[in-house]
Amino acid sequence: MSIKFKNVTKEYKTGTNSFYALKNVSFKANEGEIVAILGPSGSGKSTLLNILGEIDRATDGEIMFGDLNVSKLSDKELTKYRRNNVGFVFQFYNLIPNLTAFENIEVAAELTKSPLKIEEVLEAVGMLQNKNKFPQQLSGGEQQRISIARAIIKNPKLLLCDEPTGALDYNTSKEVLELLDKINKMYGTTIFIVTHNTSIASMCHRIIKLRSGQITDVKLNKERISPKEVEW
Amino acid sequence: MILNKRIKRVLFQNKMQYIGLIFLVALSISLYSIFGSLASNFNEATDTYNNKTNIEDAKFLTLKEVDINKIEDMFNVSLEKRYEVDVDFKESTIRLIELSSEINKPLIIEGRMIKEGEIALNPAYAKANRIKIGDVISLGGYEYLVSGFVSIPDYIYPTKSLTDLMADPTKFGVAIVTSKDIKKYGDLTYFYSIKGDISNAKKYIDSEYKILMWQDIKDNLRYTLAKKKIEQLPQLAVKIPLLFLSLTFILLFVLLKRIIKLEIKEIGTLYALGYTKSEIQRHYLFYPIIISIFGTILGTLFTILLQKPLTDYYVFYFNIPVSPNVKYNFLLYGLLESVLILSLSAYVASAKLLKYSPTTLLRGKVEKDKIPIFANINLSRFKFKNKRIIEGIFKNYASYIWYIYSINTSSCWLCCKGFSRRID
Ligand SMILES: Nc1ncnc2c1ncn2[C@@H]1O[C@H](COP(=O)(O)OP(=O)(O)OP(=O)(O)O)[C@@H](O)[C@H]1O
Ligand SMILES: [Mg+2]
Repeated sequence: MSIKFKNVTKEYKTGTNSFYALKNVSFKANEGEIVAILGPSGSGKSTLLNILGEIDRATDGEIMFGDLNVSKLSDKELTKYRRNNVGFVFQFYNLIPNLTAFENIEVAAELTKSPLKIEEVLEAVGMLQNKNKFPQQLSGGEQQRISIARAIIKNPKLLLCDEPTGALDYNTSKEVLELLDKINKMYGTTIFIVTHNTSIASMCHRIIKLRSGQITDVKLNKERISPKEVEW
Repeated sequence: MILNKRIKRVLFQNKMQYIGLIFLVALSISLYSIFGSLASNFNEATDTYNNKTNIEDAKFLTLKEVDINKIEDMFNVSLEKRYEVDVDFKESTIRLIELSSEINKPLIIEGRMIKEGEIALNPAYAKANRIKIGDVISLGGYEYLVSGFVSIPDYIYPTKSLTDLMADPTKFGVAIVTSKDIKKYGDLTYFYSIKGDISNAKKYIDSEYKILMWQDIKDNLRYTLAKKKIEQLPQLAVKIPLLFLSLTFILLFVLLKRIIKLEIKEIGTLYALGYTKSEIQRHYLFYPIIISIFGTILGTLFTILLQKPLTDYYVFYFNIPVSPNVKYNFLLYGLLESVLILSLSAYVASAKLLKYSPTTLLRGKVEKDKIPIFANINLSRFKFKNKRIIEGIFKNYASYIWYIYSINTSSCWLCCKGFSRRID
């Protein structure tokens, strides 16, 4: 699914002041791409991703998913759209406590008519042996794998990851990146990765740079390397 | 929903909290149903009591002896003459009353009806003076076997004089003996009891026999005081536990809101995953429903255990036979009310959170930091740690005031209830 942002603005009003978390952001991304969103803290990366994932509303502008203008949808329609098409991976995993790894994935699987097989996805993220463990019993990297499994179980067209390696060490981070790359190849999922880490961008097809809510640079990555080779 | 698998685990993890909530629900539901059943049983009991005993419409005394048959023939009334005599027993007085056959028929509460040489006393007096069924007591030179305890309709609340307001069971009691036995005593007094179409009869009796004393049943404190207390009972029974029930639910409302608020992040995650508001709310509705159901089960148990002792207590006090049946409709009301109110509170609490966007919820905090109302108070005199505590208290002033208020009110209520009982 191709993505198009046209003059997207997010404004926060505090009293009489207004603050633009995003200002006239426009870009395009093609189906099946891995897109990196880079920028310093507070530049609006998460805001952009959340608007992309329909869990936050833009103040102004137009968002197209393929031929569908999602900025025109009602809240209900958005939820329905999100439910079928968007997967989220959070920085702090956000697994539901009191549910096993398997059940956490099931919770998301339940939402769509034709989810992937839970076992298959667990296998893909290398967590099959941990399926009956509770989140508290898993390491951060393992939790993030489950979180990725949960995001892709509904075979979303769009997978959004906000600092997916932000809480992980170097080796685990690389494993997670490899996993994302593998998913992109296996299912053709369009993936957005928000990160501070410029090195991660080198494994992506497209790189969007943000500063103070505005895009400073969008470029295609011609010398794309595999996540194994990413170093920092 | 797979999500509901966590309910059992969440309940187990926060056992104490939920057990507390269930207990609170159980307590108020059982209070409500016990008093409700009691009131309803009392109402039924007074109706059957009045029917069975054929209570008088008035009692009177005349200058000349009344011709009973003549008046009964002339008017649509029944009339009966009943002897009574006061005798001493230890430090107290017992009023012996002739066993009547038509009006004011005594009702045996425990034991059996008297025969010649036997006596039945009002239970409060018997208890106060440690007289048991089967005892033999001597009154004015004659011995009687105590055959049972009795309730005399025009002496439900047995005061010594017609104008007394308080009954003192240690000092004064009433008892029935047969006509034959009572006639053994000298100094007998008597009253006529009349029932039926009394207004014309009264005029005629006054002109023929000269009425010295006339008392309608509605002016008889021995009857009306009891009646008033019995009538108050349903009000007390329904209103106070209802108040308590509402109070409990307000408390639960706050607690449930807090519990749900602790799950902001989970709600945000589910929301982001694509769960709809109503799906999320349905999940959270399980908690109040479970609390209500277990609360009601426990409350039913309490009710079954406590209904009889409580009924006995009141029966003893009012001197009327009352069945200790549990009226299960009260438990049903309690359950419905509990489900309704608790679900509503879960609904309101979750609805309030779901107003926020998933991003806000995912941040795990929805409230802006409150600006303490007393921010201007100079706290520099206090140590840093104390300052934080004081600030914290003022920040959450609303909830603290609420907690203090609700704890106070409920404990006050319980204490007052206990005290007033003791005073009675
Ligand atoms: N609810 C809000 N109200 C006001 N301002 C907000 C709100 N949410 C975000 N902002 C502001 O919008 C700007 C962009 O925030 P955003 O979270 O998108 O940054 P980010 O690039 O993801 O930063 P980080 O790398 O630290 O996660 C920040 O300056 C933030 O303070
Ligand atoms: Mg961010």
